[in-house]
Amino acid sequence: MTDSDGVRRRDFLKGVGAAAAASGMVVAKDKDHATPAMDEKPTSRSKVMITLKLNGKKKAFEIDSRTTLVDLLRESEHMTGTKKGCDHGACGACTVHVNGKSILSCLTLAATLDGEQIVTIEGISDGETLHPLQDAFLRCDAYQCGYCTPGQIMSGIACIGEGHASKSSEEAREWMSGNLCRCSAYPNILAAVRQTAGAEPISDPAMRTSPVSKDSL
Amino acid sequence: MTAFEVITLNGSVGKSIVRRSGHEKVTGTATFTAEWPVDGLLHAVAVPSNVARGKVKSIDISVAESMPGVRLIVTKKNLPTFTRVKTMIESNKSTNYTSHLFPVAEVEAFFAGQYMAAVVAESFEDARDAALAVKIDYEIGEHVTDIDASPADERPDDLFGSPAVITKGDAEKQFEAAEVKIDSEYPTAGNYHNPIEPHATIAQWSEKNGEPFLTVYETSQGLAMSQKTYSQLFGLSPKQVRVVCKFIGGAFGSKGAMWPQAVLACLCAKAVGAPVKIEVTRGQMYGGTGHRTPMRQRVQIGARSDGKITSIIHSGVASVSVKDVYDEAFTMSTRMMYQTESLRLDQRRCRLNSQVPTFMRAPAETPGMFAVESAIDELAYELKMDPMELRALNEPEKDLIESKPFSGRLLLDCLKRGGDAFGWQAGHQVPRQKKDGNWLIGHGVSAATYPAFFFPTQAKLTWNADGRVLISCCSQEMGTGTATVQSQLVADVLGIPLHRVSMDLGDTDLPPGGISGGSATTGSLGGALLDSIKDLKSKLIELLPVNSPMRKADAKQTTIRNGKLTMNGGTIDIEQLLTETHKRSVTGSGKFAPAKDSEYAAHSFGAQFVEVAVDEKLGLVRLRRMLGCFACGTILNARTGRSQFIGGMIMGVGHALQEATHWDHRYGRITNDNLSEYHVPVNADIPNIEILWIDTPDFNASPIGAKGIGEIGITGVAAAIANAVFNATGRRVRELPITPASVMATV
Amino acid sequence: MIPFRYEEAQSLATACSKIDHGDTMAIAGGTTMVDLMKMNVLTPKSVIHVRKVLSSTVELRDNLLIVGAACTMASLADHPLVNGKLPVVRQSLILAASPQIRNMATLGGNLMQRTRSTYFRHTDMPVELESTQKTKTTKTDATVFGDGVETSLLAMLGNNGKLVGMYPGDFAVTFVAFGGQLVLASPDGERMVAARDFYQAPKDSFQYTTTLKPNELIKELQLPLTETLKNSMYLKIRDRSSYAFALASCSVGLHMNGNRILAANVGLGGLASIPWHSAEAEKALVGEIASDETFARAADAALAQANPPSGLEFKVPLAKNTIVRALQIVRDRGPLNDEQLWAMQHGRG
Repeated sequence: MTDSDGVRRRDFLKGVGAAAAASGMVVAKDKDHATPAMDEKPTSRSKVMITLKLNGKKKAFEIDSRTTLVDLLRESEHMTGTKKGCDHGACGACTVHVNGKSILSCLTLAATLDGEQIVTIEGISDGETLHPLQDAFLRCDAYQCGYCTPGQIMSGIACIGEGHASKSSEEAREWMSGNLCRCSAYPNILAAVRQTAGAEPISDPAMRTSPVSKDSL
Repeated sequence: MTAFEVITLNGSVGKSIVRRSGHEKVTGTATFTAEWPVDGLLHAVAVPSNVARGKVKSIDISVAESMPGVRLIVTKKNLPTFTRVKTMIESNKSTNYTSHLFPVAEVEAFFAGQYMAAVVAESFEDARDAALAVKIDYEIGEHVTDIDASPADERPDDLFGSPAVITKGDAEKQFEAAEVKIDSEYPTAGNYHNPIEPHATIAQWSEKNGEPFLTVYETSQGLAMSQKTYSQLFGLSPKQVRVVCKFIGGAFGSKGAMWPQAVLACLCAKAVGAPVKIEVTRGQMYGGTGHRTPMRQRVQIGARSDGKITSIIHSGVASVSVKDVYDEAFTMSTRMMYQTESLRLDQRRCRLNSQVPTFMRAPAETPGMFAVESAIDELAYELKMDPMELRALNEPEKDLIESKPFSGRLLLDCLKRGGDAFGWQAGHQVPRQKKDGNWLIGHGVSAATYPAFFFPTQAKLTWNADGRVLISCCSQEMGTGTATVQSQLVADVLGIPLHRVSMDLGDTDLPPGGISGGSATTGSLGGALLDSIKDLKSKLIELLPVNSPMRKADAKQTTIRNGKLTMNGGTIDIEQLLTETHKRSVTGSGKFAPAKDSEYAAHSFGAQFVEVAVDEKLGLVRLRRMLGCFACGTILNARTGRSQFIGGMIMGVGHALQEATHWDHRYGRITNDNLSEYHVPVNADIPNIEILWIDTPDFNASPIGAKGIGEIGITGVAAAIANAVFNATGRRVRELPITPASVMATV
Repeated sequence: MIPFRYEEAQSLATACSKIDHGDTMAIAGGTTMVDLMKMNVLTPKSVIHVRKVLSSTVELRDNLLIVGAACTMASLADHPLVNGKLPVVRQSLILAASPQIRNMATLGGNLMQRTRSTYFRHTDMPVELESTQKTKTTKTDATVFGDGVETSLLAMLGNNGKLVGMYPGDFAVTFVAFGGQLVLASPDGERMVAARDFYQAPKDSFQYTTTLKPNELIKELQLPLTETLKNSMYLKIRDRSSYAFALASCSVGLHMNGNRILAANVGLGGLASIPWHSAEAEKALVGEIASDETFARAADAALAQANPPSGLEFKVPLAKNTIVRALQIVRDRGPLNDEQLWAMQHGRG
């Protein structure tokens, strides 16, 4: 990175207006912000050929270099089990496995995955037979709206497989913290992951609720 | 004698039943709005204003339109015509659009985030990148985005049917004369709902019977209202509009009204002659799809030295946008929480160059209860009283303003039961008593409350000759388990096995449901189904042979029980009856609407307990335990019910400790418009949560004894946490969110 | 994102010859790059994927921990040479980001992380290095600058009195604190740079620069295995329990003889324009008794030059307390294992 000039503005709002008039988008002269390409004629679409092993099946794709894995899955392949929540790597809803590791498909250029193995939520059950963690999610009500759920399950499988779910419950919580749930089902997600890892007995967390009717008070 | 007929529910109601939608959700096969496969679909991305106030001088699309994949750039010049419909508030809910401003249709921007243009392209990335290249030049005007810089010189028009100022007695005078006084201010930051599923709309224009037909897939908590809005926008009859949403990926109020992307998708689809999908980017959701306004509240409580409250004054200001209003009724719960000799509720409003705010989980109660329950805790401390005892001493018999008795209260029972389970130590709560290494441990308690709302709802119930019973209602599913709990209700009332009952929802081809909001769906739809059962019963009776005794009897004497028509001395198998009369099915229709004026004050109540650990040197507040005990009437499903309470409480954690919208007020722009910097709770934030409930049915409020549970969980959390922080440290934080800076500042 | 040409690097040398960190950029994990490219903050016309031409191995050689630049954060944290042996290294990795991001992000990229400040992420929010609005505090004569600016992600150390972006990463703090070295590859060969010399606090730009030349890439990281590195910790303070950038953080290591400090390493994160090596704190520690008073003096020394913009004043006592606490933990408890780490971060267990 080379050194560069910053912007100094005296009359703040006026400066914004003036700059806006010049280019419509106020851009710092900092090299980090250089957008010379914006004012040139954009290049035509840049195509890349890749082959992926998607849930066990090899498939060839011709993609735009800009295509992220999440958009390849959702828009091109109509594999909508993987969800787009924020598109900037902050929520975890787009989590899939690449070569056995949980990663964020929204921050992955599909072009960089040529030759790799990808497993999505669509690939973890065996026909009618659900993955034990999916069963646990049903038993523990580890979801509400269901939108973050595929990502939670993919992270959960990794969490269990890497040994983080069967030690302390705090460790399990930590390793599941890369997946936001706004509804929020965290205690039930934790229970599902811990039970599947064998760290807690199989149970319905709702059976711990103790309802009381007025008569018995 | 209760307002509604008492019904006995002792079948599947109350049990822990796995959700009907569970399998689809855990396999990723539930279809959310942006996932509907539509042939020839194009993608659109909006170009939002990046100034808080400005007149458009020019829009330069020259670079954008030559980028790959771009089909059309939509500006005011080529925007298809539409009718400027009234807003939801102005039209008294005959539309659900939130604003006077329409996407791309304005020559002026009134807030940063207002859609000023749009790009329609072949792929999402084509549209996104071309949208970044659209250059809009503004003549910049003056703006204000800081609630503390905008004059609070207006009054809200209407606070859930009440005026902005409500008085009982002379609260100022009694406050001045009080032996013990609390007078505190409670500022709260603006919050964003941030459902994990972004708002989205797919709009498709087609033809049906030679007329235009509009199909819209929309992330909407109110499909029937959206249908009405689209028909008015585009001069169609509602029969020419179909709106579909089978699964909402979280809403919390943000999808309860119609936002600009929905209208924009329809306009783009019309302009380009192809179906168009808009998935609002996360960044554009801050300023594009509603928020909870920041507020400045003040609570004054005057009391005698024995703890009896003589006056309460709850006042403050909430913001609205410069062009549109939505008033957050933060003083609402203060009308009925505590007995007092005098009361003054006083709300003002100020204008900001932000998007119009909207309802966010437990609107009114969430901010209001933080202020009041903190003030009550301050009063208890001042009086050296147990806050539980203070509440018991000031428990009202009736709502103070309308003087109506409560349909069901049980607040003190929740406090007692919850306190026992939590291990609440009775008496004056002395701060700084418990340490664990570097952590100061504290306990806090707060009341929780939410009104029992109901919305007009219609439903159909179809009994098939093969034994399946189908509920049909255009209600919405956003994690509430609507299909499951209503199936349980119907199975229970009819006395048939649960597996025979299912529900179709999420489609305006079905009978209109209300907005899935206000915790109203379960009770409203339940009421409509009870009505449908009556109609179904009549229709079945009509099928009987003319000489059947049941035919002649009063319909009330005939019931459906265990899958049979039953009357004294006789039963008739329904499937057999249908088969014999050559009917494949029979359908009963029903509806429910809340009474215009109930004789009861209908609310749910609860008690919220929290144990915190505070590290004063590092400014950390961490949660050790949470417990909620709630009285919301009948709980239909122990599994989903517990999840709803937990979910509300966790959102309360975010509200209390993390969530704040940050601004650069010089630009009038939100600076933390992403989920990395706008913090919501993560799994590691959440301790063990215990949920208790008292499920005494409330048939004064609800036709099925259930009052709704989706929102009450959030309402007591912020105060419970703030009270616990005080108990831990001896210092009170009155501003939300409680941050490391604020915890350290008190040291 | 502007349309760009994509290619797989054929070799490290050819990749270097094409890369200029502007129109042609290298991508490995991509967790920062793809994020910023989507917002047109980075607009390369060409992107070269270099992951496969860089090493990802971790080994020991001449008492140095040698890490290939393509090694992921997760791999390094879990490596037997690190896990259970070099606590500050593991902790400054696993307390960062999320498990998914750590599986993707490479060390080479992580070192180059950009500021999270809104003024960098939004290309249409102007950067104003010198705020025209200044207020005087009543407590001191110091001028507090940056009123009205959204300062939460700006630097209070290494800012030359200006509004500059804060370096948000964690591992780099450990890397500079413990004397890490970088091997930089170019078409002409390789050279070594000390991490402390690699990062340059900004003078007239909004965020830091590095001594990386236009066609150089980070090839390898080297960390000397000192006694301090083995008796160490990373303490990270954030408002929520996980998955957040630091409000303040500190890498510390102590080599003790009885209760006397023989050697010390101190680095600060969440505060400075660059990963901050605190020579001032180290000087105040070495040779002293490891008492709370010594630690407090070291913390004061570390923050003596702090110049917080408006709104960040609270970070000065926070940073000091963080340093003191980290030193106390190393002195009193020794290296923490993961379970103890989570108990501390979550406040439970």
